[in-house]
Amino acid sequence: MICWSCQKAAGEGVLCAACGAVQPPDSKADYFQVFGIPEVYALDEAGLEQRYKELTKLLHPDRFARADPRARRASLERSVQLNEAWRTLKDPIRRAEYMLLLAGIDIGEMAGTGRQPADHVTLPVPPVLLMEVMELREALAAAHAAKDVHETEALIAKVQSRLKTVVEDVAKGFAASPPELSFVAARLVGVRYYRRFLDEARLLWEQEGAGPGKDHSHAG
Amino acid sequence: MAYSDKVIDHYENPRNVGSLDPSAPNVGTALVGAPACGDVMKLQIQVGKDGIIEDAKFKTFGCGSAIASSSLATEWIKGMTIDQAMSVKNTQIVEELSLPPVKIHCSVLAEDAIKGAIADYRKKQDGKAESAA
Repeated sequence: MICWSCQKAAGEGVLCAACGAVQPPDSKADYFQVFGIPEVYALDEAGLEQRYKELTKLLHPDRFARADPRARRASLERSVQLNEAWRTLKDPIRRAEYMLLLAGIDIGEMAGTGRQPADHVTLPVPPVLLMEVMELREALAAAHAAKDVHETEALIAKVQSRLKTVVEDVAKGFAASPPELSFVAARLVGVRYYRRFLDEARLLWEQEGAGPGKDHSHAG
Repeated sequence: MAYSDKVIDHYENPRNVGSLDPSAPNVGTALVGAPACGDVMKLQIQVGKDGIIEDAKFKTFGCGSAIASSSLATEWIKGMTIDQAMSVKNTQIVEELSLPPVKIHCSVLAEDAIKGAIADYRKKQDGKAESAA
């Protein structure tokens, strides 16, 4: 890349290696490239956050308030790309979905994010999983009808532990050599159902007068 | 995004919510889901000796369009022969409920559920025929 400002070789970084002017983002860069880190699942999360903060600081609009319009625009575009990358990579499940997508496996979980058409998904969902989700949903509806806050909380805890197991399995799958991508995909298929359940359960839980306030932190 | 009046009507007064005995030989059950949104839908049919669907029930956990699609599906297939029910298309549901493009997958789910319930019923009938032979 040639720097728009000094017309010299800008290098790969956010700022031109020669003159320090902010460079427009490479729209084809994947999220790992945005952070300048290798594409591995088991990434250093603290390091990622550190890097995110550094880059955010570097791209902060205040620094470009009086800058050349090209620099302002480049910093803004960089920020948008950085935030998308951060949102995806910091979350173990989104990160896994994204890495599958990079490997050409679309499990439909990215539908609605703008990267994939929100089409009907063809990857088969195990009947056992659907049965479990249906039972969980029915139990939740029953708990809500009985205004049983404890049961609602127990169901939330149950599904949270399911999600935790999924994340552990996904990490194992990516750590294998070679990575067991189809295993990872199979484990991730159910995630949206669990998440949807948790959204619904938290809503009912709040209606039951238990929340809000307490943070039932979830995997994404 | 505004729901159409028909979607709201089915959502507020869903037809045929409930369950049939899944182990009954003349009951077919389908459980389908949409991984992209996390909706789950159960649809059951009860078929009479004349091959006509005499009852249909559903249970859907999902958005208003998914509930309306399955409610409408059960309403339609009641009184149909299984072959007629087999030919119900998601596009008919889209049209009837005026579903927007982002909700088309809800109607697909309902069509899949009808076909799945019929397949389950037929499997049971075949099994019965074989064990009788």
